[in-house]
Amino acid sequence: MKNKIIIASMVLAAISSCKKDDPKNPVKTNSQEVLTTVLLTGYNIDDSLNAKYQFSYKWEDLDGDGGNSPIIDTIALDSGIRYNCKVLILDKTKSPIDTVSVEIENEKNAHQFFYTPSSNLVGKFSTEILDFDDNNPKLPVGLEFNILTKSNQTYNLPLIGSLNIVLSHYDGVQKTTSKSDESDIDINFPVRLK
Amino acid sequence: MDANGISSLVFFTFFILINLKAFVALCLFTLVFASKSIAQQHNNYNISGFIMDSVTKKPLVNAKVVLLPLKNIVYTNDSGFFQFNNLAKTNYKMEVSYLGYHPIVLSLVLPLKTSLRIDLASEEHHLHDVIINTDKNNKLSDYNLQNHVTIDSKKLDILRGQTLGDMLKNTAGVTLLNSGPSISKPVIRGLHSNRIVTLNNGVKQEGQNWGADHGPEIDPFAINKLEVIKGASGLQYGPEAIGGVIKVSAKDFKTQNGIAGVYSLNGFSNNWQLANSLFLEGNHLKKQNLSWRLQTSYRKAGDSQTPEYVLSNTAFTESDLNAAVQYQLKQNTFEYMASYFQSSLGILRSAHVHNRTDLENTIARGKPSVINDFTYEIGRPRQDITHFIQAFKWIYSFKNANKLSVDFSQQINNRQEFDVLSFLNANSNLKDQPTYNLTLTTNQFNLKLEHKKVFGFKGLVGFSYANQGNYATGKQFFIPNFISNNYGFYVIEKWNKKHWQAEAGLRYDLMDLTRYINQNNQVLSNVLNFNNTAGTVGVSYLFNTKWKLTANLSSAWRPPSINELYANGLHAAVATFEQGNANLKPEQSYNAEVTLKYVGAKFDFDFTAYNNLINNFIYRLPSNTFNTSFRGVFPVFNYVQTNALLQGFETNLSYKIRTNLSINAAYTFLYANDISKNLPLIFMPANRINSGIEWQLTKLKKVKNTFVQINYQYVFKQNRVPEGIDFTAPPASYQLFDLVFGASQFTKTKMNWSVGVQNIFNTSYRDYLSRYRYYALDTGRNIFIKLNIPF
Repeated sequence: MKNKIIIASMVLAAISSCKKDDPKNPVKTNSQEVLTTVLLTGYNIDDSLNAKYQFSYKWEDLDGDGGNSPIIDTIALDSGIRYNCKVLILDKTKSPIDTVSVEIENEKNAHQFFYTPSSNLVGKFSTEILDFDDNNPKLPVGLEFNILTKSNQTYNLPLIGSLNIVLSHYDGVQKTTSKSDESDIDINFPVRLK
Repeated sequence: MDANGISSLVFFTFFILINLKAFVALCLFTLVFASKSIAQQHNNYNISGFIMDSVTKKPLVNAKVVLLPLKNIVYTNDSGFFQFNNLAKTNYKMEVSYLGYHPIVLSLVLPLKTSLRIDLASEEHHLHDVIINTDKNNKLSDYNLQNHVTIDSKKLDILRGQTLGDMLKNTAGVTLLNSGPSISKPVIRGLHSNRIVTLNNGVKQEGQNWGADHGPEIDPFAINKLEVIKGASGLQYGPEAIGGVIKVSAKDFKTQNGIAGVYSLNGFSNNWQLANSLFLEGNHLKKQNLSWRLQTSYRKAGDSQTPEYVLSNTAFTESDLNAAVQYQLKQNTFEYMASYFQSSLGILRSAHVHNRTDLENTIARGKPSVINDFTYEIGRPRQDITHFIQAFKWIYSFKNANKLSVDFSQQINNRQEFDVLSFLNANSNLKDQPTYNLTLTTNQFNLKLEHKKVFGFKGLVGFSYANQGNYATGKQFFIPNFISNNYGFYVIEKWNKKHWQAEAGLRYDLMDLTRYINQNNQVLSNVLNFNNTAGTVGVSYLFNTKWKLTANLSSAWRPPSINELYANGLHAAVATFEQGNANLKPEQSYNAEVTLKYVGAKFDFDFTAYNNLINNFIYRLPSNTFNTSFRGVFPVFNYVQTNALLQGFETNLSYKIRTNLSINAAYTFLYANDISKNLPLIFMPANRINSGIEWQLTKLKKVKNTFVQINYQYVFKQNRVPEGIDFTAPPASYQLFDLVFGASQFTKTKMNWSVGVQNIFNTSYRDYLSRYRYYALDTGRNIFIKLNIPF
């Protein structure tokens, strides 16, 4: 009798299976941690009317990694002008729309934007970061910056190039004025100087 | 019945410590028969005896017996009998050897009152005969004419490191695919992951095997015997065993009444790892047999270190619990086994890059960007893995020596991978969610009928069924949910006569794989069907007791794995975007190999050459398209197929310079080509030499069986790579020295121990198959201590 109990319990233990989640009911796994939109807004600082030259250019990839390619505006700027710009980062897959750049502001001591124009724009298009973090000494953040375009006396218009925007994350390493090896964002905007 | 056994089992289940298994004595000899020979006069003494297999008790014919110092040699007759006559009344040593068995040396003082009965322990693979009538239920299927390497428990005690792979790295033909110090996968003749089957105590181990950074979920302490079958082995183990099989076995069940155990403790200086294990076993009841074993292990390691810097975030922990019970009732044997494996692994912080520019910057720097102080802390990225197995087996031995075995098993593998934190998840409930969370559940059923020898043939027929379900959650998609079924039918027959032995087998498999994805909350499913045949033919000829030649032809196939079919996502570690291809065809391998083996009194040698043609070989290739995301621009890698030819050889030599001093050397050579394009295959292991010298110190006072080993490894540079695919050129050649000093016994306790140093000279190197060679050096000097205390 005892023998049978032993055998029966061994068989039972072997075939009893804890039912796991059913593969036939897949959940959505994609894109819960993305940003969809990088918005560049700005105006001509030296324009007394102030609103006349306001612009807003966007880099947008609503379906996340893979799938459709992002839609990217061309940044069209006049030459010889100083623009004040802000970068806004959104996740439009969330409702309401999540302004994720707020998190960058919160973690500014470990983040930094780098704005790098393409080589043909060097000398004609430059940037200057306006906001700084709480490190000692203070280091640039880059959510707010100026774009300076050189007047067109030395080159022909329109001039087509691009602007590379990288958000470096300094995690486990000291923040410096150089890029880290961890780019949270790395995108390119076409640029047209007119 | 004996309630003690059960209650101890239950009791120790709650132990959270560890241990290892005791190791099995390999050779035993007993003096049994009363002797007729009584010496009457000077030089008229004799030594006689029988030599037999320690398990089957069958006589070993033509075993070699050498009497020292006279160097007289005799061979046993058909009854396993041997005799030396006309000996003086003095001391002799006698060496007994037989190909495929562990040789032994006896000290004899004449006159002997009895004749000798000498039991030789098999190295598992008998040359002459196949054992069927033993309690070792797998003997027949274990045995085949393919190239085997067995690492027994004694050697394992010395080799046992932090992973399964560590124990295999000195085996010719086997190399490692490393993803940092804590994750290593065996590579057999250039093939790994889904092309290799790992059998864990008879159960086909099923994790997310496709991942190069997914190590086998097996407690190194629970491995008492390790066996590698090289070459296509799809026959017994089903599709996928296209590259070979790794068989991991626990200690055999205890056969003598009582309870015993071993406590083992290992320490490693490189990552300040402590690992320990407690092993208990028991045997109860008289007429029937109730045996059990129980083992619990725990290890904790900090960051590993290269000669120049700490590999930050490579700490890990692992805890394991294994239990098994066997009950024998007349012709029935019942076994139940359960094991639980849990591990948390840090992934080198700097190996996480976000895009191609980051990767190029890291490579250009030549060392990791994040280097922190040593710590036991496991940060992100990391992997949390659990693996549960339970298996039930019933064996029925018919009175006519036929045997039926049936087993069921279930495995649940859960893998959670956590990415580094970024501003996108820092402040949300996503923070603690895994990026990938995959649960793979596998049920297997096997039925096998072995028949006794009829007209010189022994063999078996079998049926196996496996069902698998994968459930994916987490923040990102990489592989989809799926359900698969696999039905296999096989037959294997063996034949032997005198010096010849032959084997042939055939297997047919039928598989279906259904994928389920969620697209806008609609479930889409589609089915793929595969079916194919695998086969093997082998023959061996034993020229005499020293030389044996084996030839083998085998074919095996492998269906495309889930990632090759359906992967769709970013591969963060190498900054690529992987895209599966649902139109892939199965791989088909045709392997031919020849092995020549020589076993002499002082000199052993073997040489194996193989030619493995794999049609429809699947690999990743960068396409000309790029994927643009906010993280950057990624080259898209597609899975493509080609015809591959892997040719190579392995050779082992060992020479006994003196009875206590021996040297050995092995060479592994592989030449792998994409024959459709006439280009080298990428990511194939570099050729290498492993050699060693071992000195047995016989005359130390308080310790027995002391030995010193020096091992040397030279790894060539891999010069054969296709241009323009890899991110960087293959690393340079390197050489490493290891030193081990060990002793098996102090005078009073049965404790055995060893201490040693790996990478004595703290050499800086990178292995071509180290996946982190883009980011960092391999690990530096490692001093270890290993201790086993039986009780």
